[in-house]
Amino acid sequence: MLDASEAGFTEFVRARSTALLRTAVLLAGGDRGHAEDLVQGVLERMYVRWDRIDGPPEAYARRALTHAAVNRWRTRRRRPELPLLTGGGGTGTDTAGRDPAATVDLRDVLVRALLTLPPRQRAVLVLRFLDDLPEEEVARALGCSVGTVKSQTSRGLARLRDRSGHLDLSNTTGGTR
Amino acid sequence: MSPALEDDLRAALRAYTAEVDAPDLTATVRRGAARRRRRRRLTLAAAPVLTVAVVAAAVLLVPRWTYSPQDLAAATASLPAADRDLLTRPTGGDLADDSGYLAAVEKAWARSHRSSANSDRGIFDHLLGSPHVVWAGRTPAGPAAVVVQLSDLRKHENVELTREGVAVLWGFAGPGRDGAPRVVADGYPVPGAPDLEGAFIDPGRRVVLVIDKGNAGEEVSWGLSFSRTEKVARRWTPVRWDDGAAVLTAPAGSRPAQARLRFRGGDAEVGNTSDDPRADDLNYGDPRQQWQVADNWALFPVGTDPARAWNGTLPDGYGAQHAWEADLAGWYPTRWPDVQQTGTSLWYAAGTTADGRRLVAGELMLDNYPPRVYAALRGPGTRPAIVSGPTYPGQAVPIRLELPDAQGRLVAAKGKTFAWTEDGVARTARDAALIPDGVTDATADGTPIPPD
Repeated sequence: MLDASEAGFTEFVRARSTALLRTAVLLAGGDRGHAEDLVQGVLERMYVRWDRIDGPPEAYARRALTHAAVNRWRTRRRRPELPLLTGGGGTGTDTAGRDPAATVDLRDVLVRALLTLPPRQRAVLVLRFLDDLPEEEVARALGCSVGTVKSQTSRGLARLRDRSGHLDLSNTTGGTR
Repeated sequence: MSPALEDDLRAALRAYTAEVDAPDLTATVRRGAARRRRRRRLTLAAAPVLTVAVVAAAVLLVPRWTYSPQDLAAATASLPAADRDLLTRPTGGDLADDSGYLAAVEKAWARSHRSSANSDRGIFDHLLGSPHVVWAGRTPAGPAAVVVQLSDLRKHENVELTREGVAVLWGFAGPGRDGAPRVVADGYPVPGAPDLEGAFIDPGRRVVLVIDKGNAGEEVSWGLSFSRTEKVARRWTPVRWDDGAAVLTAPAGSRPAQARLRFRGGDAEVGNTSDDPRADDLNYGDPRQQWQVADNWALFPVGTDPARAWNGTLPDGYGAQHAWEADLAGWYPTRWPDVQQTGTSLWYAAGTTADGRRLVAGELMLDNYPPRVYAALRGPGTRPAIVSGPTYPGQAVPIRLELPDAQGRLVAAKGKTFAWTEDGVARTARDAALIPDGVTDATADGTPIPPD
């Protein structure tokens, strides 16, 4: 790799590794170790072909990451996925005005529910709602149609609602239940 | 769909990943990329040979890719002989003539699909024909059975297949709480993975029912042991068939998840090792639960020149994880031959030993192997000296490892304060410590540390 390319790749890794890892953690079902493996594998492949990547490297990376996570070899007894459920982290404002404990509970329930979704459906929601990708880019990352993204998003959210009891939790806002 | 749910989900995902920060991967990626290039060169060199082999296999083996239901008989004929035999052989076992029990098994099989872990892989979506009970009999755990059924496996978002088409599904039934049969394990041909040939049929995981698929030299192993050089060994005993199956009782103290079957030329899987996939981890004392700190790796500084950051604080400038990878990542796979996973430790103890060598230690738990603690000592320009040993989950000090060459003992217990006297000076350390050789008064939170 030429020096300029090397510098470009290094800058990309430094700038985007954390974002990619955050996506990967959710794609990998909360398994941080597996997520790092996924990101590292994607970056290794990118390094080898850095000068031949068409288009924005970030899009390539997300496509490769999603592909690796969704299509990973399935065996019945891989190491169990470990949901990332402790801590909670973050301080996002709850526009619904729930008390902080209820907000943490709700987020915890939603992430738990998300991690139970099928990998492809989970990937759609992660790319849409963590990475804020438009439907067209999600479709490109997953190699499917925009219509499939729409339907998977709808089904995924419906399953989240079912599994998290979202309405019930929402109704606790302000103690109105 | 309500925007409120989308907003909540967006906030939840951000909150739960907010503390995830990537380590500096640049150097690791470069090394990995170099390995990939080497592998690719080897692959390219082997390509002509592989091409010939693949073409030959395609000519000889590839079955029809599509079929109609009317072609079921023909599709069945393409199955492996052992699977065809399972579908057609008369029911074996001393309950073979108990039509009520056989019907109950078939009913339990049909009822089990929705709750099966394989349900979301779509393997039950296109069942064909009727289930067939291959074996039904009494066991020390109660009545048990093996049932098979054809299924048209198709591409599905959650399953990877070598090919679409007809395949045999297997189910193992044991006694349920109400006395009725309960399917405890099911399986399908998974590419690259051994077939399911046996399963623990009782809640206590002591009795294994194994179906005879005509394999020669079938043997069972109930557990593994580690040699002094960390090589894994298993003791194998022959499986004796009786009317098409074998009922085996696990020895006391063995761990269900470590049970394995093998035969001449292959391995097979034992199912239903756990209702809760994490149960064995928990029994072992899952290191992730013991050590993972705020979703990040833990680093415990130890020794005379302890590491206090991930990068650049060890004598040779390595960070703890880099040092671990350099010394250990290629070491354990050569000693744990049948693990499918690779990994790195979730915690590290790092620093310098009294003789000036770099010390990096950590813990690994892959597949269903029990967790092992490792330490690597490396001096300038020398190969690392690596030692390993068991962990002691549930004990006050779960990590205790004697280092080589009288370099002391590594101890670790999250949240505990270690204290000892060294050359007349009182020392303390939190979470982990390197207790110098010859120290006899070391304590953890005031309690003497037990000998190994």
